[in-house]
Amino acid sequence: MNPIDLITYRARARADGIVIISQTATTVQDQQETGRWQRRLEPWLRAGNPRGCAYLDFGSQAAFVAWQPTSRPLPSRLEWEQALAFVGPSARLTGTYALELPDQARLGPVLGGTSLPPADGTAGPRRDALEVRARSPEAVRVLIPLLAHALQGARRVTTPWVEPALAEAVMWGLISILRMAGESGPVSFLTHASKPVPDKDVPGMLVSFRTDVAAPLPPDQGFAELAKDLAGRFAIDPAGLRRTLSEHGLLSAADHRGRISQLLTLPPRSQPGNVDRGGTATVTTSSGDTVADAGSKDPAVFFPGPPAPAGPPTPAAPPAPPAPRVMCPMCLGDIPDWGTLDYWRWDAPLGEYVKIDIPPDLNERQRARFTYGASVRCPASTGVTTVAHYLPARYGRFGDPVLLGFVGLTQSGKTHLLASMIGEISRLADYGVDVTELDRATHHDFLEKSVKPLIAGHKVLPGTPDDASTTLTDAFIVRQGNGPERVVALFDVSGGDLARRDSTKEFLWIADGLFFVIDPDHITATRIGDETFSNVLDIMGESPVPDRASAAIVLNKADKVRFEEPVARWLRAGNGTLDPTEFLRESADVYAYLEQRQAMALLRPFQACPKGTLHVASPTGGAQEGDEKASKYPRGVTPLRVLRPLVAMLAMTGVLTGSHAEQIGV
Amino acid sequence: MADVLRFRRAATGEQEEIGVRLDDVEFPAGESLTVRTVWLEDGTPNGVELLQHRPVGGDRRQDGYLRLDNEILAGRRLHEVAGWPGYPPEVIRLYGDECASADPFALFEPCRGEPLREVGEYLDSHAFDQFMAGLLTALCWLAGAGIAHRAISPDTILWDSDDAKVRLTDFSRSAPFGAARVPVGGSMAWVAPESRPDTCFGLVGPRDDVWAAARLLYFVRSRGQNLENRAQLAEIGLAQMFNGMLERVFGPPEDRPTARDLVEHGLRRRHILPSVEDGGKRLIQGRASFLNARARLRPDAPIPVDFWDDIIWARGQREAGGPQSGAG
Repeated sequence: MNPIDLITYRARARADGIVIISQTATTVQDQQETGRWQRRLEPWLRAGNPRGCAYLDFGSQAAFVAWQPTSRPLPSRLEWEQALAFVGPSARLTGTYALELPDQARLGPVLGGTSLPPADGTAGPRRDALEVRARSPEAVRVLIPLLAHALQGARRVTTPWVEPALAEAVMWGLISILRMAGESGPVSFLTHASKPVPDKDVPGMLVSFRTDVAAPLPPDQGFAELAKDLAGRFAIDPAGLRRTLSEHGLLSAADHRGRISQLLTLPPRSQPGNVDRGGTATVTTSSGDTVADAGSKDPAVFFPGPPAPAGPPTPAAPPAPPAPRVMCPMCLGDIPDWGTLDYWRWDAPLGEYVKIDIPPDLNERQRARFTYGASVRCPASTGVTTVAHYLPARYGRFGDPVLLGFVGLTQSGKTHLLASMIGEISRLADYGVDVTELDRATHHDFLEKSVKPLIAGHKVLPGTPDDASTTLTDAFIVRQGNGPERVVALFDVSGGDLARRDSTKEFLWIADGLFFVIDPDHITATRIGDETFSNVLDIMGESPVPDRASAAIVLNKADKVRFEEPVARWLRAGNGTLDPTEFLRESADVYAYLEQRQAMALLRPFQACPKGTLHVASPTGGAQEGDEKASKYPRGVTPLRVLRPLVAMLAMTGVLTGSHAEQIGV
Repeated sequence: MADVLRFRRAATGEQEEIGVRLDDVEFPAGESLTVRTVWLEDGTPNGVELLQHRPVGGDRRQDGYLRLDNEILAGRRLHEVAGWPGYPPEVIRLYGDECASADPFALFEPCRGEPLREVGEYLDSHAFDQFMAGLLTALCWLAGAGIAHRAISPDTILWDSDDAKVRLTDFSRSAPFGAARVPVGGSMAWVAPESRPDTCFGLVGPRDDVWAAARLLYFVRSRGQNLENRAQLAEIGLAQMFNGMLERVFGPPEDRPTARDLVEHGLRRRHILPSVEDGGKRLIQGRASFLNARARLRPDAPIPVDFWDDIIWARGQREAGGPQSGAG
């Protein structure tokens, strides 16, 4: 029995313009189950249209959505009228199974009346055609950056829209290669979207083909080389690639990192056992169509540069600004030529960084093996007075990084705010912002040590040690729409440290933005918080370039005062939009809240910085059990409004652009 | 030995610790809360009888925390605007709450009356008039507290025939004005379009409750019928009673009259309006103070035209320009 069920949905526009989606028929017997599917699929149904399809792997279950084309004109706010969803266990309703479904199945079979192909791993009716198209040069061009991001472990990848059949072939190829390489994680996709797509409950990788994106985010160079190699092998001989990867132990590698290491040691295609047959290979489909010279030896066929966007021409993304000189956030030293620095790697057994010696005659792919997850050492480290310090190798590749720090008294909740903010950072997609971690190891380390224990384990995190130096907690490559990529680096600083005047923090001189974090209990209980903010502002005032930093004052742990006005309304205000009026209203209300409590000193950052906003936020949604550091959050952890300060800061520091962003904080 | 409850007493805001007797039986109170009777041992022979609301266990416990928070917020707000002695008899009264622990609760005074679902069709003309005045008065109190009930229905509103009083209960879906609307489930007959799961949008405001309240007036007036179309309002005299204003209740939320409008301009009974201060006044003063400070720091910074829209709900006042921006 086929375990896959069908549900049809209808969309209609009311007179007031609101689009209502309702289920019209289903083979699912359980009504609660159909309700769950509608709640789960509704944001996706709203995001897509008949020019594309969507496969969504929710973990144990999956759905494939095909929007039905319509010949008659639709009301202006309606992009479709009928949609068909295939739902079932993700082990059976796989991405390749969905793509291989026959066209007539997608056009809405009479529910229960048309048999679907067996979901048992056998080839579907469209497999041959998909494979041929996936191996074509045009598909491989699109496939390479996606595969590179997938190998790098990216969760959300946005790429320019291409025509539907090509997008489906690319996704078929991507999933096929990943499965050959032993990667079994979920891969979801939406092949046509005109805006950021919902990003709530899809684990693993999500690829969205967007009409408002002109070029994909460039992958790391090393991974791009690796992806080129794999995609090239796939185009020439998929069965050969499958065999090579299997023989090379990919399927038995312990984890993703192990698989990457194995892939980087694949012998070149020209070596025995990896025969590049050369010449021109013609591929014939089961229907007899001869399609492509997929075996062309000319590498330019496969790797000619970024793909040309389909559809109406859109302006090309401006290139990332050159980075001839980067300032080290640790010591303020200039790093004149980032690209010439040596690579270093943290050696856990030795407990220190060790230099990576890269033989000069390596090709790009081999070089990638050496530099994967590497760091660079600040040249100032060689000085007599400066302790050696390191930064991720990609830190300086995207122009001037944007440096954001968290300032506040000890136990004001900076660490928890930072952890919950990073835990929710992928939701910046709701604002049209794509985010990729700068350094996978650093990000993974922070996720494991802070985000997961807090969000999943409900554990109270240890505060930043008082004697800790300023260190880079995590960093991201952030991109709004087609704008340039910017590196945004986040620093957590010991609260006690900042309260001491003599402990000047160098990064404050070059910080682009500071989150001034307030615990409601500190507003009236002590004046030390006032001193912390004053010290920071004094240090910033001594900078050779004063008035450069923006301020976001955060009434943190706001759940403690969640029944007070205006905190109650703002904690329940949802995720909001980039509307500057909403930021101004919240700023006004929090300003008034602090003013009414005579906490004028806590408002100094708003007065002293050229741009400033005020916010309420609750990183945990509730209080911890007792005061012990090893305690838990007994109600679980549900962060509220933690992304709003970051969104405001990205706008105030110019990472987000546009008329709305420019009005935030003024 | 009696159990001990520690809680914040609503009347004083002070923490109390007091011995109690707990009822063995606990009942569901909606989907995510439970209720049981407790008796505070205050030295009187029988103690003070109260109802204790707590979150359910299991999958819905998180939702239970949120629902309980809603009840506590509404109760505290009403105490702020009405005080203990002036607390409106039309609304269930919060006695105290414990909101910080893993096992939070709210204590309510018992509410006399029967759900309108059961007794609504038996109200005569005189009782209907008292019911109508009581319901609209209660909504005026809620507006003063800056709270929308969001679950007005024949099941949550009680009628006490002994003293001819309406009682609003179950604030578990309530929300403060200005909060983003979250979908409300249940029968669509009692949920306004802007709060339904598939059409939910916008911010909670003082016009949210009048949609269901007007339907409830029809339900009682028509002896248990659901309103199917606006023409029915005239058929039983409700449209005339409100001088044609009741029909507007069923339009978009921003164009609806408030409960105060219905009393003052519909029924034309200004004398029954409670003397509750506009809870938004302090917010308005605070924002004006902020704009003053901002104007000193950044004289050229503009004020968005819709800046006041989320706290100044009266369209006329808004169109008149709201408070003089930056002038306090």
